[in-house]
Amino acid sequence: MWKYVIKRLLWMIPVLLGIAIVIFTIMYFCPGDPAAAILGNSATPAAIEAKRVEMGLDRPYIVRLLDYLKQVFLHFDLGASYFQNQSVMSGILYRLPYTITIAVICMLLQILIGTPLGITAAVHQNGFADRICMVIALAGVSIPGFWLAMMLVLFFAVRLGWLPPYGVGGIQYFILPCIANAFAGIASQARQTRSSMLEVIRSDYIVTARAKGLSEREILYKHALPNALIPIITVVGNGMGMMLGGTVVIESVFSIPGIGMYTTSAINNRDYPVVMGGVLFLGALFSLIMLLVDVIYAYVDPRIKAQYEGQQKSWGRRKANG
Amino acid sequence: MKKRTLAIVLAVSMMASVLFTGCGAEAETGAGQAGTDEMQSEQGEAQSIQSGEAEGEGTLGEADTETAAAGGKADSVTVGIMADPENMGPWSGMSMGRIAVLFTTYEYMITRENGVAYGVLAKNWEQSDPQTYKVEIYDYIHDAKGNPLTANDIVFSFESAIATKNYGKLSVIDSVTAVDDYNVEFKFNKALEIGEFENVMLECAIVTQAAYEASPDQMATTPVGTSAYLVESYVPGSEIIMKDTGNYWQTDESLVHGTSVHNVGEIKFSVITEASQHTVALQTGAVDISNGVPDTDISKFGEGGEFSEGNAVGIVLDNLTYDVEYNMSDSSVFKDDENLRLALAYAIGKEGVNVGAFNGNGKAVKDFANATYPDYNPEWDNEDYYDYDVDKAKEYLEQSNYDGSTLRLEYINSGMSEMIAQLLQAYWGQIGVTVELIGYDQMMGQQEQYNKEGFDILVKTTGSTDYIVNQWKLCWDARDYREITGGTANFVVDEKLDELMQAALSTETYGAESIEAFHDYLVEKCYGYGVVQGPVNIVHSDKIVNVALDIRKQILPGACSYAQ
Amino acid sequence: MVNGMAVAKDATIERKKKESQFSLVMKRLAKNRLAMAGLCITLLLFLLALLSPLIMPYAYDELNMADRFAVPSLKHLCGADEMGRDIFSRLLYGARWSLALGFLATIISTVIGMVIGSVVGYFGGTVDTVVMRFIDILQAIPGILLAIAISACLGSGFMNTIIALSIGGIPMTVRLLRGSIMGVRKMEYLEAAQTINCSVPRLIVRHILPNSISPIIVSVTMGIGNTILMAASLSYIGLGVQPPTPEWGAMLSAGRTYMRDYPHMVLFPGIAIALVVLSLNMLGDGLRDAMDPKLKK
Repeated sequence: MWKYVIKRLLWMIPVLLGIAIVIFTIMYFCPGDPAAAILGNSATPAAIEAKRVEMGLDRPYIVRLLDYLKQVFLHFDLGASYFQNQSVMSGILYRLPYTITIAVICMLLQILIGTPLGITAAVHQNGFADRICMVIALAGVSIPGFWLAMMLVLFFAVRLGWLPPYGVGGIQYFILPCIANAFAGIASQARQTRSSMLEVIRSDYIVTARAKGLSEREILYKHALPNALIPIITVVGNGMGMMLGGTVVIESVFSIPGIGMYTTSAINNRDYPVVMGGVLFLGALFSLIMLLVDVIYAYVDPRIKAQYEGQQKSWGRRKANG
Repeated sequence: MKKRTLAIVLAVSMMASVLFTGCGAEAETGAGQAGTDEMQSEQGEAQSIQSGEAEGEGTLGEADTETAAAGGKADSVTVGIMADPENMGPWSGMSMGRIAVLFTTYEYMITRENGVAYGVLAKNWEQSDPQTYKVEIYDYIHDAKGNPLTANDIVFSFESAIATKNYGKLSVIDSVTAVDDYNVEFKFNKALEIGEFENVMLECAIVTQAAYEASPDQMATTPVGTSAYLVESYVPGSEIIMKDTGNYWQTDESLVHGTSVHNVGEIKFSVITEASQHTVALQTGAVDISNGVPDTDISKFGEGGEFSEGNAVGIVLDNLTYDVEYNMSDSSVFKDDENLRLALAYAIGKEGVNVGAFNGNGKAVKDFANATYPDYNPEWDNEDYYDYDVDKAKEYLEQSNYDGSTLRLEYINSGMSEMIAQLLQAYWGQIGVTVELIGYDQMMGQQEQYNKEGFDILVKTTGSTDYIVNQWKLCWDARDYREITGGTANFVVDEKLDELMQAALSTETYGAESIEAFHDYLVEKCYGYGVVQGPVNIVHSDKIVNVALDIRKQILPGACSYAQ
Repeated sequence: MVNGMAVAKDATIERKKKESQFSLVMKRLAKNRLAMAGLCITLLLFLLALLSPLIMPYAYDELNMADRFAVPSLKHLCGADEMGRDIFSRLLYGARWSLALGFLATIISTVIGMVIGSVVGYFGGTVDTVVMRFIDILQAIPGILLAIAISACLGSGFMNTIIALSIGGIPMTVRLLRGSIMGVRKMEYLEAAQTINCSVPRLIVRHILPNSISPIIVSVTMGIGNTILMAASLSYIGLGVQPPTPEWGAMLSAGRTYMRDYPHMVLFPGIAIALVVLSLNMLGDGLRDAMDPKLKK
């Protein structure tokens, strides 16, 4: 297992290189010029050109790319923002806590509320509980985050005055954004859980387990749930990744200086170092989370563990050869 | 409530008068600064954004300074701003968030009030030859941290600003040298035009070398200017708290001008990125003043509105104009088709655009620029400026060579331009001209506006902070654009237009006559025209009795007067 | 030659089998009332979208300043927006754009994802390691940021938005399918299939996919709604489909400034989106049940 983890960690290096290349390329082909952005719209072409030269933007694609890769992967330096006299790393580290706080709270809400909802629904398939759970799930998936956010603000912050409508500070500032942000996640978690559970409940070994006379409870938690976990974990892993960079809209509604806003406004400003640094950082973080997910896969499913440990022969290849 | 409203009206008229008298001093701030203005700011979110860069200043002017001196102080005020300054360093690139806090942080060599330039750091200045100016600064200046400021710091500031290449207007500087401790000599690489010197003086924030070098991050988060305020705390993306040090260098009250007034002990800038949250913030009293409230919510704070209790509204017309520019390049349908140009011009219901886009708070304009400029001729108000006339439009269309093809309307898809583009599309649809919308983000738009193959019609936001001629310059001065477009910004090659433009801009011929001539010629040719100007909505609590704005209509919290 | 004939024969049999399986699924689906309701609503929405020019009371881009923010009435069934355009007409016409956007983006990403996912899940080993690293690269870039970056790069517009929205969805499908396949690939029926010398692609299509597809179906049904909502997020940031195209997400986003006073401006587009998501989910549930080979009697 450890060998697998180390192998995966080593694999992260080419993945990060890949991310750097992909995002660098996208930004390279983005129309718009950071030099012009800094100088403002009235700048003369000559002034812009001078600024471009100063910023090194006049060099060819491959030179800039290699330069950037060298800087990041050999010197571990994400560079500095074009607009802020601040290293990208410190900008990220400053904003990270806000994003992480929201992401973790949302994930917890999603797991703690979504999973039980899904299990309940699956166990009582087509029953009343199922319907209720699915109505919640459907509402969650069809309500746009910013709509919910504004409604929550109007009700809890304006009408009742219980919570602050925007900004950052104590934990009370995170309540509304997290609820608004987690709702969709809870819904999709519930649905995915229900779907996997149903799948498993219908499978042969559960039928066998029933035939053996095991109690429903035992069947559910000992046999069904562990097997249903794989797709559920996938959703959690993906959800986490989405939360990390995908809270832009919520951050914007609540004026929270998170990484999403940081990176998005950098895309709009063509602040390349921030975009690339932000995406790389989120990418590294996400890769670690996915590694964790795969390790958990192995934990819940010994078959996969066996595969990770390389004990299994690939029947696919054997077949192809034969 | 009445009184407060009155105060605002007063403030607004003061504002106008600033602009009126402001000409002389301001002149080419417009050029560069307004240049940034056009296309509506870097971040382009709110229409209230004024010029993107440059340090123009100016407040409500004299009256304001008087009120300031008369008292009306407060301990603290919270200002809602639309974006984070991101970098408060003295010479970094401009952004929407930055212009909101700049004047509270830094001082410049001079300031402008009622159009007159007053020295701030500069005690007096004189031109010694066409390309040389000498400036004497006060000999008792110190920054907010107490570092004394001398001629060497001025040299340091200008040289640093030039080195960033962030300020196009400073490119006329040949050298800056300290003659002695309090005298600086500026040498320019050409004979300056009207107002150009003042604009150079207004372009560069001044700090002491000692403070700058002591700052760990080039003052990005720890700016130290010579103003009364010092950043107490900064939570990036969320809030900035600035405190009056109580140690402002200029002790002679009569020499403290608008931008340096410090009526309030503590200023908190609260970053609120979502427009409707500005409404919530004011409603709940979380902020005292904001210019970010959406047009449709403004009436709630006004007389008889839902939240009028304890609040007041001031609506100032913005200096930005939403203009239509035709693509006049050789391959364009507009090139030799004046009738088509006129047809489209007459088909626009400008009042309707004002209502649709600004809830009626803006104003239809009667020139390529708008009436907020001092050299605007009020008589134009009574002229026919392509006044909405569908029949006339159809007539012109019939005489034109329009073949029913779809025309491409390019605009920047942030702020109000998108809405205005849709309204224009609908108006032109009424006379049977099909228009396709092409929206670009700020960056892409900046680039695409000079791509003659990319569009047929352009909606652009332009504005200067001083003269009307400098707003015109942003499109029609071929000298600035020839290199890229071969003509004016929208590819017009017309010698007479160039001549008239240059006449209006030149120090020798500038005046009512040359302005009139250009205006008339442009109206006749219809290469482009103004449609509407937007409002700047200021909503504030009754804690504030008189609102002070700078020339970009940004709130100057220090210079506002407060209820006792 | 002989071999070729055998293949041809094999194909015929396969087609027959497929047909029968398809009709089996349809029959089972027809028995599921909820699923049929979902199907009907979906088809109805498609029909409305197609016929919208005939039904629309107003042109989708017809301005009427007198009716700005008009509340729902007989004149404007769903009210009018900030430029006095009839929201009902816009919704009808917008269904074309929104449905096309949601379906195309989701289906493009799912198809690509399924191809990659099944290949990777089936072969495992080196193929898995290498391809999954590419998927990791794509997935490690947060979806919305990737969509924003691609949108900024390509510019706004219908096709560009579809591309921007679909790329981010690929890794999700790949991972989902790969996970499922890894779960089933050691099962006995596959061993059995192997021993009767079943070809690899056939093994994937006939045996592995049907057994792993239900999570995919669920994710597609959810995905379409999500995609439409994501388009709304893109509009919120100023990207996405070009106005005055009445794409539902864009309508939602445009209405947010006014929602406090004129809730109908976000209510109806919201309901439209919810309706699509709801019906697709009901249909998806039914399909999953119907296609589940384990339920074969």
